Amino acid sequence: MAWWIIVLVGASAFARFARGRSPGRDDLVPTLEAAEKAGVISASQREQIVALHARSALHESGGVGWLAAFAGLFVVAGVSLLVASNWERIGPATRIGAFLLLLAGVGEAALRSRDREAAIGLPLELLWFFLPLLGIGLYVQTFQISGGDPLLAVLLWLALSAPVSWTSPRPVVPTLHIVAMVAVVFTGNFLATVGDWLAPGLSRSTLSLLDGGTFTAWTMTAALLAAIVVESLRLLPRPHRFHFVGVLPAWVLGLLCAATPFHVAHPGWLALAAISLATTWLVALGALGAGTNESSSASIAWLAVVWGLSFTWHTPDAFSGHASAGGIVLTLLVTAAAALAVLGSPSPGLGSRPGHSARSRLLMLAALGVESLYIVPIDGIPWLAGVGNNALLAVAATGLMWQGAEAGQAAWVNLGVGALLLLLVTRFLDVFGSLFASGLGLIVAGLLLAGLSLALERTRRRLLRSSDEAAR
Amino acid sequence: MRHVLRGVLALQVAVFAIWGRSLMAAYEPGAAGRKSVATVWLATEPIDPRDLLAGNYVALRYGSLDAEHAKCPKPLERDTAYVAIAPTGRRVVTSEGEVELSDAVECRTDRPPRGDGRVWIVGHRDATPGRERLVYGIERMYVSESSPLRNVRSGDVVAKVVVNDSFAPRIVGLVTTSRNTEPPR
Repeated sequence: MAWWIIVLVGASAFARFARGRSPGRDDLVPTLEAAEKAGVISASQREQIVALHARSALHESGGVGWLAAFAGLFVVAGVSLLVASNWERIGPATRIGAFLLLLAGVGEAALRSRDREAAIGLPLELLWFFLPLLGIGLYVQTFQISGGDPLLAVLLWLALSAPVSWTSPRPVVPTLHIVAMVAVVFTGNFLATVGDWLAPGLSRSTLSLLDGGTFTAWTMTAALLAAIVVESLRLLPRPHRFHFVGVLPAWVLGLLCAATPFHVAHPGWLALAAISLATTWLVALGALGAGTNESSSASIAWLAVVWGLSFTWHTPDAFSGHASAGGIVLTLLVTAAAALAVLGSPSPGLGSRPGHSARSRLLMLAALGVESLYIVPIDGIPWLAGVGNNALLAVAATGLMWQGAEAGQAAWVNLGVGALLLLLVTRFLDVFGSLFASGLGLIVAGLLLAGLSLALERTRRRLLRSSDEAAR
Repeated sequence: MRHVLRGVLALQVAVFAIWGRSLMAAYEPGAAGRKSVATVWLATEPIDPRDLLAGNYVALRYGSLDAEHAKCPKPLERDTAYVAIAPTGRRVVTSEGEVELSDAVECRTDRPPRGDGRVWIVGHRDATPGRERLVYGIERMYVSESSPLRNVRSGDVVAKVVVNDSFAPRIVGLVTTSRNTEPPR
């Protein structure tokens, strides 16, 4: 239980971190000041907007809400430890009776405080959400239940708590419910021995897809994945909503990496699958109307795949390894879907916007083509594809900076700068050995970066001038 | 909305109440039409205690119930197997007095008849490749943090197990032994 709490607290902290990086709140005041200086709004209008924003932020509860969330999680962890401390001198009837009273009391209190301050309502709601799981732990301990699939107990909890998640007036409980479902799917489907990890002495989960999986496992997995998608789209606030789209490509990659009927142990096929899934994820987010920040995780995943494969210029021999027929078919289908999605989407990739779609489309298709080389069983091909990936990453990073500067999207520029610096640093570590060569390389790279920076700055000024002229 | 949520809360309380009641009645003779509950003692090998979901427990292994020892068909044809256990004649002295240990004597994959005078327990196949074995649901004994049972070693304890007429075993005690007694000749 304590592990679950730690995982969920970590996930919520990550969600908070991700939300904190979304645009808006922190940028508002300086933006309004700039607008006032430029004569777009008056001083009184700026003050009114700032006051309205402050009231709105307070209503959304911000830091207070997160304090309340952690308060609730601490209480849940405390109750969990109290249960785990094992009151063996108290009989089963008393334990069950006390638990039922606690569940009824907490549930009723949570119901009555739903619309009150977050400091009261949220901890009670969290306690109600987790109490069925704690109750299952109490029953397991009281009646010495073992030998079953521990994930079924977690599934029972998720089912019992689903209505609390669906009717919650706040995003905290739905986020935790979805994170728990994702953890159950990946643990149950792909972990070889759930038992050894979660509860020693037990076997694979009922949800296991290893060595084929049962009809029940596939059905339950499909239901859980559908529930994750529906809950994410219906219950989460917009900045979080699109993170969970990435669960689906990650799950398909899990099917290929684990010992399922789609198992692939050939690095080349896995490389092709990884870039195809990242591309599909990126295009899908664009089709769903995700903004720049909302699709940042997919952009980072795409860049990370290309960066990871850029190391293969060290590999002279062709990749080899077993790839199941199912895995090959699945990879080819995903690749075809990625290529068709790129060709058919109006916003096909990294930093794409009207006017840039042709360049983005070309980059995405080039990446698919380069990664396809890895499945060719000819020595020297991984080296060639590795060189291609270095070039792709450099082009993608520069393109992101350029388009970010043109579109006024700081996030794209930052992402491009980060990718380019990562590429340069890793290649320096790869290529240069002696102090003299490294020194020369660093000077050349510095000059290149300075030139790029100058070009970006000039582009930005040109755009500002043209917008000023248009305003006049 | 509150009416719906009150219904959900009532459902949760009802689920736990019914489940708790059924778990309590599972080993009560006479409850829910149950005719018999047998108590057997099994030699066991405790493994390091762990601290997960429901607190501290002693993980237990039963060599006497091993599928091979019970002469179960190999590989197991079904997901469940029924193992008959009978007293071995080996006696040990425990804090509950002198008790006779039981051991597996027969294994079958079809359900045995009720009331044949023998004690059968049902095991479920752990199908993890490379380690096919039977799991009985008595592989863990939850104990308190300060329980001396957390430090027991192999051969120091025996498990007290009750078996109802659905052939389901439940561990009800882990009892330390003071000395072994030779089987009667």
